[in-house]
Amino acid sequence: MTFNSLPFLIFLPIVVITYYLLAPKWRWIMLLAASYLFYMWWNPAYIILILFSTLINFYSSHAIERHASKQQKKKYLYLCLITNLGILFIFKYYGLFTQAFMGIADIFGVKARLPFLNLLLPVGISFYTFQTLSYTLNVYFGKQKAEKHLGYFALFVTFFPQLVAGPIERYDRLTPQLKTPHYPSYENFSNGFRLIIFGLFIKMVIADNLAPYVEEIYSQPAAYNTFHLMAGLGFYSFQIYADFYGYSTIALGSALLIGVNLMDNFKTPYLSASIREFWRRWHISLSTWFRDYVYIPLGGNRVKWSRWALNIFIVYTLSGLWHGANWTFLIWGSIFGLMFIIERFFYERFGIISTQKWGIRRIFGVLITFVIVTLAWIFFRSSSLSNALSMFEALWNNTVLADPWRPDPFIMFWLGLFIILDILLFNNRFDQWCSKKPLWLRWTIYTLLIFGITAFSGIDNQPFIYFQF
Amino acid sequence: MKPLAAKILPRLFILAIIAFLLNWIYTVEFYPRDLKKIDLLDSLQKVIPQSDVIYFGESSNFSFIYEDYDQRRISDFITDYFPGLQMGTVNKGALHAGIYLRLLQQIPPEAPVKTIIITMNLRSFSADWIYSKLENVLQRDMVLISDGPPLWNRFRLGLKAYDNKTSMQRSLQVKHALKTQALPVDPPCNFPNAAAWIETIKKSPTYPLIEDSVAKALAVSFVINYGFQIDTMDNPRIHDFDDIVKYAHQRGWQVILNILPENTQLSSALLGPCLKKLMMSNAELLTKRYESQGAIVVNNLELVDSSHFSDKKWPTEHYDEYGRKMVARQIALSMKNLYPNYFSDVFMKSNFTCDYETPSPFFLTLRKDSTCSRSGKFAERLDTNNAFGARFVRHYYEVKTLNPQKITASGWFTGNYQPKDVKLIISIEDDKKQSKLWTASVSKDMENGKWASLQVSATIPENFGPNDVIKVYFWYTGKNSVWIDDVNITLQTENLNTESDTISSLIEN
Repeated sequence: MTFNSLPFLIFLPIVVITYYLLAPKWRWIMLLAASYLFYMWWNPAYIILILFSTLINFYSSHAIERHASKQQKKKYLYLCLITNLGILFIFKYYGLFTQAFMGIADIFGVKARLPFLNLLLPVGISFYTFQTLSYTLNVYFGKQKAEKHLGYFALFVTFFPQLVAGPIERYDRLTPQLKTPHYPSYENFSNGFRLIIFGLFIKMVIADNLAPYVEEIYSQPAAYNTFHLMAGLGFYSFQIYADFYGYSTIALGSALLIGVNLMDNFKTPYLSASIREFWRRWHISLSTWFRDYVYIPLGGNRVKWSRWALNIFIVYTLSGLWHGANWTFLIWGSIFGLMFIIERFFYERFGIISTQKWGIRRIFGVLITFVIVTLAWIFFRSSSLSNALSMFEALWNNTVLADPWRPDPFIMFWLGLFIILDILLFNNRFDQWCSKKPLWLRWTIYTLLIFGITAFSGIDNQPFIYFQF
Repeated sequence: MKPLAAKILPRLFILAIIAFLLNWIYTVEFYPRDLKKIDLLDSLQKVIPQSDVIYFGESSNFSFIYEDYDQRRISDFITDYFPGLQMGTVNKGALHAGIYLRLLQQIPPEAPVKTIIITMNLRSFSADWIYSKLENVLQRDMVLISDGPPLWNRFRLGLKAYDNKTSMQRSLQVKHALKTQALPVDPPCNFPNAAAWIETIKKSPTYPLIEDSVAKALAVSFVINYGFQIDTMDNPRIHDFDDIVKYAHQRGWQVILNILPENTQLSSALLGPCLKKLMMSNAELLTKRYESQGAIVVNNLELVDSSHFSDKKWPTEHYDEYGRKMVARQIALSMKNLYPNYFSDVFMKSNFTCDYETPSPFFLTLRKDSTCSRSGKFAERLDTNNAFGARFVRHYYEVKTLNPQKITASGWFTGNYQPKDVKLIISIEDDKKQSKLWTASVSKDMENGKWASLQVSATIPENFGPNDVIKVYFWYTGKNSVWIDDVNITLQTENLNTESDTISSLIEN
């Protein structure tokens, strides 16, 4: 079930009330059952994969911990990595692999044909695979003791607020909270409520209303002039942000209702003055995952400049590939890798932009970063490389074939409100920011958000964009 | 717990008050605007205040083929039979009885509506349509007019809280129904259900009976769409139609149910008699059921030959001009007794006028222009962009009952022209597009700027047959604009003029 659905709005209060009514020692069972139900709402068959992944990681981590010899530990780590990444590969990357393989074979004149697997990508597979991998890797590196309780471990893998689209939590952060007996707290309820309505607002009012306009310009870019295309690209920047930020915010709010604090996944990323800063503010749980499990093991920044640049490039390219099995994601990731390297070389070595204090230089940096990110989204949003190139071609050609592109003034009003709120929220989380405001302002904001959600949400079917990853 | 409840409950109360106020603001300010965005509701709202009769249909009403001379809808053709009667149309692809019922409930008591014509598509009783993925959009459109506070309904729209399923879920529902809905086993029709029938088609080298690259897929489509026996207890469409008829009676409306023609010829050619038998028994069941409930049921199931269906690769109810006109005629005839004072049989009509003021449905591609006119406010401008003017087209099937011997056409024109450039033409065209022409042209110089008329008569050939067409039109080959007005065409049943076909031109002020 999705967060912006009636079943979820019924499911969540039932879970919260039942959670507090139960004795603490039984709560994990209820949360686990609720999480499985939440996941099976899409397709009951998906649960088999998640159960398999849970068991493999649970028993591998025990085997890793049990064996003293590094060789034996490695054996079980590899078993775990191959199983987890193998499942991910089959479901997510097999198509891209066969396409590339057959393309290369064709170049060499070999008629190679691989079987076509018509598999449906299970929702959130990349998220829970990375979450469980982080746990097993931590056990291997000795940073983490293996969990003895299969139930709690299963709950760590499937905890419903963050199961299908993150934040990608770490075991040592989430599980202790799941084990702690929480009691109903007004502060948690009010903050959870604030986060949920804010998340629903940005998903349903901003992202869902911008989506049809974005779809229109991406479906026929050659029909619009450069100005309209640029506006459409800007809309996509806000659509994807509102979509993913909205989801994460509802996840945070839902978890908070039962006393669990999930990590922040977004911190006003479009106010970043550099690509580096952008990735510290955008999809933070994934960035930190790649930092801890790819970048640092590769040597991080304690290496030669050329090796560091290669490390950065590898991390960003892999991060692109994590998003989807398509060349477009690979290019999207590579662009950020490249920009990161260039930025460090120019910006930091020559001190072109100060990224610390607000001023003209920072504003200039914010604008440049936004433009780069917006142009990079073209690869992210396009279904193929040729579609992405068509968009660039159309941007250059500046032709007008279709009727003028006129967004609804009400949507522009809500988008404007969202941008203002986002600026006000710089380095703040909505619930905490809100709690410091006077009563009248708080309730005015609630009323506006509720009115937006109930009367102005998008009506077309727009699943959360990150569900496909 | 108590202090917590003391904090939460007052806030919930305030939230309820806010919700109440927001609902009021939404209902007054934004709800009408949202209703207008839904084309189906918008078109219903537009036709309600001015319609004595409303036609509810799906794509069968408005689908046409490019070659049709007259590309109007079935409902427009019905209107031709009742000049003066106000008729409105509400149509959208994939509509069905469940949606028609919801739309009917929107008609206010003060509306002038007396009769409703409801399309009864046999295919809409099939699982394939009941669980169609197009249902999501239709159900979405209906949310705003559901019971309950408007703001709640609008919120449901945002949450997609209606019958909103994925394509895969819909497809599973269809598969399940094909397997579980029993068919009557009556040799040689020995298929226990549609799924078994489809399996036989897929496996058999000699079935379907036609050898064609698309025959297998087409045969499977036919079974999916018509391979069912209507279950009067469980089929949701039956309940919808029951409710429609009941509701119409409560409102004092006459109900005409239009069972659409299906391509029974093609189904027999592909699958033998079994499927056609099922289709006929379903149509008979519907006819009996709803006639007994007081509705007028027009069973057109076998009305249209296979050649008049526009889609050849899958079964639909999309007809060419002939098919649409035939359906319209059957409905019009069934309405004759309801509106005897308005009824005028189009197939017996002998005089046709186009004055560019009143509606002239028998003249096609008509373009009004108010620059000048002979009578009223409008005429039609002919120039290099519009060389032919409004066309009068009459097919053999439309005149065979009248059996005319002769046709006479006249019309007025004015402008700055060369005599040879203005012609009034009668053309009789056969199915090979071979034409016989009778032309009236200006034979001598006339004073430009004055209205003048042309008249032409033609004897209809004895071999005028099923695929032939009569056309009448002005043809202008000059560069300056001319205007035509008051075109009149008469079909004479007896050849009163003993002289040969006449061609004349008159000059008048």
